[in-house]
Amino acid sequence: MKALLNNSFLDLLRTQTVAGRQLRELLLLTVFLVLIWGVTALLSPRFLSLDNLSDILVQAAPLGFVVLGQMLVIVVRGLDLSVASIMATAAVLSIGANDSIVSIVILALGVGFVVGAVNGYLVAYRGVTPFLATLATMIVLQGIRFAYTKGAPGGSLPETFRWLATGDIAGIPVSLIILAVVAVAIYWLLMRSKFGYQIRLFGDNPQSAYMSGVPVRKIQMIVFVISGVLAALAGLFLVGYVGIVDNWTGQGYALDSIAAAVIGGASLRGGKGSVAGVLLATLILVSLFNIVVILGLSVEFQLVIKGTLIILAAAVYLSKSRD
Amino acid sequence: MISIDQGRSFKATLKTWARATRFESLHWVIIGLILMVFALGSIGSERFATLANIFNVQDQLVVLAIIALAQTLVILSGGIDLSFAGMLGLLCVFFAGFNAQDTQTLALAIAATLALGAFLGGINGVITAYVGVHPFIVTLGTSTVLTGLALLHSNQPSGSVALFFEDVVYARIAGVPCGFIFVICLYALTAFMLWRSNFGIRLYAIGNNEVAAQISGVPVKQTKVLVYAVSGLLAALAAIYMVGRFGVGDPRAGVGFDLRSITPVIVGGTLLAGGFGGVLGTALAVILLSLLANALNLMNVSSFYQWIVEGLIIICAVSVLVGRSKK
Amino acid sequence: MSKAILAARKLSKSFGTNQVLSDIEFEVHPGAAVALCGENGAGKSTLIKLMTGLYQPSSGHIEFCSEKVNWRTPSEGIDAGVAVVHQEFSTMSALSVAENIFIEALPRTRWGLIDRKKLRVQTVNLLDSLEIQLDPDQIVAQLSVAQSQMVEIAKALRTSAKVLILDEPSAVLSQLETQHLFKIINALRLKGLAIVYVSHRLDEIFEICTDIAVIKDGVVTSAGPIADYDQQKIIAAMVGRELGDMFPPKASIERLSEVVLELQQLRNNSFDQAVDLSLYRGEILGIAGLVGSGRTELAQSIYGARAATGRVLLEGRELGKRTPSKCLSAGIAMLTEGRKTDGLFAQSSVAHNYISSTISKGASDFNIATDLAAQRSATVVAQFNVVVDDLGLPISHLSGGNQQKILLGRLLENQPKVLILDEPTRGVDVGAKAEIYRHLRALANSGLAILVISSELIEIVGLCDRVCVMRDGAIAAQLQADEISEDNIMSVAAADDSEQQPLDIEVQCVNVKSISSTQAPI
Repeated sequence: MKALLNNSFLDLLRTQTVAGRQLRELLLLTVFLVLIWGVTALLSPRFLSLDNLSDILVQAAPLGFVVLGQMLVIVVRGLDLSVASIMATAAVLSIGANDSIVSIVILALGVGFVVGAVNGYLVAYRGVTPFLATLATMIVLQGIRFAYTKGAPGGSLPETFRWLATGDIAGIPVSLIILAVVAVAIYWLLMRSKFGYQIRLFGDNPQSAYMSGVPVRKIQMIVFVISGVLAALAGLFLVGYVGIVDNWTGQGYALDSIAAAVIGGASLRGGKGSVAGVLLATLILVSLFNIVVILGLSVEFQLVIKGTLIILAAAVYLSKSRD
Repeated sequence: MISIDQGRSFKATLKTWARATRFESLHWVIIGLILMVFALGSIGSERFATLANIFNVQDQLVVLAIIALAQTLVILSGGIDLSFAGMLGLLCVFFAGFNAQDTQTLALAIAATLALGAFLGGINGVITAYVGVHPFIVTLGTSTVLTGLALLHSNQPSGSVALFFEDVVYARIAGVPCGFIFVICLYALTAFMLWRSNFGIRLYAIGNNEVAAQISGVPVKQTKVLVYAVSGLLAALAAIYMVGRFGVGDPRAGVGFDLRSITPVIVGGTLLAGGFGGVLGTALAVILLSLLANALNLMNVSSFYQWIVEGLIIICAVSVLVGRSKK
Repeated sequence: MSKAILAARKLSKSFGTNQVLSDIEFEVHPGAAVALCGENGAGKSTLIKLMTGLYQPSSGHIEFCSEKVNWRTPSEGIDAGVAVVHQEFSTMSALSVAENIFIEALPRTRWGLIDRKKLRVQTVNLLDSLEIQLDPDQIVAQLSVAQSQMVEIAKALRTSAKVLILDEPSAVLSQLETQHLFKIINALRLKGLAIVYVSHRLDEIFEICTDIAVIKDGVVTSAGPIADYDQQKIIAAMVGRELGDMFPPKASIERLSEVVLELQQLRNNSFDQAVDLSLYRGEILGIAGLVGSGRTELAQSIYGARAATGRVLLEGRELGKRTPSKCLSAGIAMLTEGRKTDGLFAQSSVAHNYISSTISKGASDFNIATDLAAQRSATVVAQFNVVVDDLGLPISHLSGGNQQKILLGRLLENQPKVLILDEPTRGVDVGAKAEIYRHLRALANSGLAILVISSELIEIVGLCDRVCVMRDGAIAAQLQADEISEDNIMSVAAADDSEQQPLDIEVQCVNVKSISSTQAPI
């Protein structure tokens, strides 16, 4: 920590550089998270108990997976409205058809892969707006899922699933470990690989990227596939956490993941997004629910706060980028 | 050279009408599909082609039609409005909360609800136009806030409205339901305003090319605020109709309408990017989609398959439109 | 002399730290036509936007009818009587001709509704008076570029304007259309209108203007009656230095022997014309022509950014299905015309912009060190003399000239054999221009083949070894050595298709090359 706080860090924080601005946004998010946690802890000491905190983290995991994919899509000027539908469909189809955990996971991720590829194909090769392409797949998936289950999903959840979603290794929740692995992978992909540079450049200016020889179609395609696969993974974890397979699993995750990505610093105008930022934002969104409950407020308050936060965050980032 | 003194031929009049209603060849396809659904529906079910059933369709149609109309205006201006989920919920509980039993209270309730709708829509517009936040984010945010407020107000369907108002909503003039007539009037009025009012032309101008519009002296920001306010106003109308229909104000009345409102707009040929399209296309698309749902229902096709069909229609429509915009 | 109707007094404008205009003094009188001259990026468009209320001045003010005014929106300027034909088209393609012309001034019925009948009559009358033949009900999206320009002009003239500002109105017009436009302008001027006319074509200025003001780097460097000027004096005031210093010496024609790039019957999707062309090692070939003559489309179709048929041979080998990415790896690199639209990554850092077409050069695709981009771009910054505080800054913080140097450096990272440069000095200050010309010549001397597209005739004439003039998507003439002059180029480029004008090489003209050899006076 000391090394981080040396002069160059403070210098970077003050500059107008791309990295400096990103760092300031991260700091702002961290301060905000600490602030709301601090205030809640003052009002209700129970909040900071290890149990409660780990509960928040475990709850945050499924949304975390979705947000990481959603963020990548938003960086390339897209939007993925189909993530919630993918979550439910992957879970329902795979668990309905299988008993063994390996085949469930393979089947679920396969569903995510295929749907992501369809989204990517429509956007990259057919020129459909991401909004409409993913809206359409969202609705189609909904139909397929209900038609397959005839409205009542079946199949039993293997015990291992419950453990993956709620269990822990040496006190650290398993889902959190997996999320961390995925997050590091995505971070590396975005910040250190050629592909990641291309993603960010494409998001900044698709025309310039094309003229610079960036394989623009391939990039959009892969990003949507990643988002689909991560959403399928999230579906399995959510089902494991809740313990019930439901046709509406993940309802609200599409808009929530977009909200978290935006609060975390991604811009719908593309080219901007950070792994740490969107994970912090996910944590903020998930803790809001917990905080409202612990403070004995009406549950709906979290909606009011959440909505305000979305607009506020977007406005703040906008005014910052104008400097 | 165009002569203007000569009496205009029938063909020229027709051309003007086509331009005024923003009719385009794509709409023939939709009309063809409507006829096809009608034919298939009549074969598939005896009840389908009856007048009773056709008016039955309008029950499901009125709210969607009004919301899709609002969405059309916003999309034409180059924006998008995803706040209907929260907006309808809050406006429903607000209107029903008056418990209006006499004409006076009812008038007050209607006026207040319309004003609140326009005001809330206006907030969307102000944040979009003056702060510069993407309308998707703004309306997503306000929708969340409004849903929260509606649920805080009452978690269950609550309030009431005078029975005579419900009667009006259920009434039929010469066998045609009031709601149906109301929607037709609303669409006609909007189409007329788009053709004959400054607001209408400004809407197309900013949706088509915001920079050019600004250079030409169009008050871009004010127009944006106005279009979101009108969208809110229309949402209020839909909410009042819903309360009249169900007798109570349901805070969850708007669930799903945010995304559902977009399908007819797009299928009707309005470009998501703004500037091109019109209300006629939306009207035809609403008819097509509700007829289709109705036909499938009567043929005992599960609603699950209807979703698949709806999604595929969007993909087909958009693929056709992509080809068109590339020209 | 009558009082000025529109004037700028000590007018300055800056965007952030970028001072675009400083202490501008400018005035225009009724019945006069002032030519506003200056190179691209000198600040002409900004001045016009300030004088019409689209921008607000940072300091100083605008005077209209000898009174200080403070217009906050374009409509206030329009209402007062300042009409503008903008350089960027301000037509709205989804609206009809009539709606475009009369937007924000639509005739109303007494109910406040738009009177469509009256709108039609008004439009027909206006178009008739201007002798423009267009259907008022046609959607502008269906019009040609020249026709939309006519809509633009009609739109500016719909009001009883006192001042008419035209920002490069003839850039897309043929000779016949330009003559038509001049007739309209002269008639209006004689009626007492004040005209501000911006153009790159100096011959036009002498034809219709009475006064001139020259802007260079945001300062008025010279102003007065047009009679006091000749072309050389204007050029000297615009460029601000001796032309001999601007352009390095050209290559000798004898050196051009080895064909690097050959186009055979290349035909793109915008024009029904095939292009055959050879590009030699070590030469700078200029492509001239009006806006819309197919220059950019030709470049894009070579680079694979536009669908085309025909063959493209690089060093004798045919390139199969071309895409920008394949062309880059084969050895063809292109600098695009619109720096903002398809050149820069505005929000990304200088370093990331620099490496964008060679991201993982010197590293593995999956492990690119965080500071690799900055290290690589540090060398080009030194080589091209780029002024930048920090390579991590968004490239939008840099001046146009420095941005262009970074983009040029980016192309060279691909080690190309052929460079296609579309408007390489647009929005670049004079100092940086001279540097870019020097670098281009050095690159050509080192064996690159360079294709330069430019609207600046001075640049084409001064820089290029050979020049192709395009018209309607085809190469209408090829010029070399002493044939390369502004007049020769324009007489081909703006010729009307109806009349086949033979190229007259004997015409006495201002030849920049001769200026550079005789050391023109400032």
